[in-house]
Amino acid sequence: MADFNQIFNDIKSQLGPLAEQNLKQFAAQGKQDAEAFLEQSKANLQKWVQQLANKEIDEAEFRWLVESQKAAAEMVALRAVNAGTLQTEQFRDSVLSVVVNTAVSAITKGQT
Amino acid sequence: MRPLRNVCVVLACASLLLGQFGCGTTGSLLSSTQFSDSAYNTDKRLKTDSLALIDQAKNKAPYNSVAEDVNGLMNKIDETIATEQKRTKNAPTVAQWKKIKAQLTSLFNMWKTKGTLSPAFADDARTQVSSLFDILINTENDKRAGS
Repeated sequence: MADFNQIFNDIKSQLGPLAEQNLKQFAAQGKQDAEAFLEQSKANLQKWVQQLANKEIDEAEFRWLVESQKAAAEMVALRAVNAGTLQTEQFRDSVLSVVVNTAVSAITKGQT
Repeated sequence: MRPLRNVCVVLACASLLLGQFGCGTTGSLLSSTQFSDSAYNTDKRLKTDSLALIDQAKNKAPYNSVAEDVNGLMNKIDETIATEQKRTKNAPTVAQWKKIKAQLTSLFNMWKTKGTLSPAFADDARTQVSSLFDILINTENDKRAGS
């Protein structure tokens, strides 16, 4: 099975540069938000990785679940747009893309 | 005095026009549409309908047994998106509905292709879909503050 801790280390190593790139003026707050989101998502992702390894779900189902987590983040961002506070949420959305891409890539490699 | 009066009138008109335009632009960027009881209730009803369908997947129901209900649900979602698009300053909610539609379409297509879904997946998918609808419902609820 894919090494779950390695997946998260890969994701976390990408957070710093992303914070600088996307949210220079709010880098500290943005990174905190991103890490808070990761912590929140970690339990879900860990569970899905384990279910995939145990063959309780297949790869298509795993991908749908990860995409649904990304959709949730995007919808939270849209709620913030509705309320008029956007920038931090834009950052969170981009961090979610990293989570999805890194996790799916690591799992796919782990399966081959 | 007349030229001065004319200048004052021109300045006053310009100020009114620019002020109105400026406020309108700022308003369209910052404010959202007003709360709608009807939209709020529709959101909750379609959440219940969606979760009821996914509950059937948990029992390994074949897609064929729910296909008609899936079509009915997706038609209602299309109608809801059309209704939401008619509300002014409502782009975030329309975008949220499109995301929910995309996730449900993907879920139902997978169910159709595979015939049945894994019970463990159906369980988690139900939780995820429920969360998506909760964000949508909370967004509508936020609009009470501006109503």
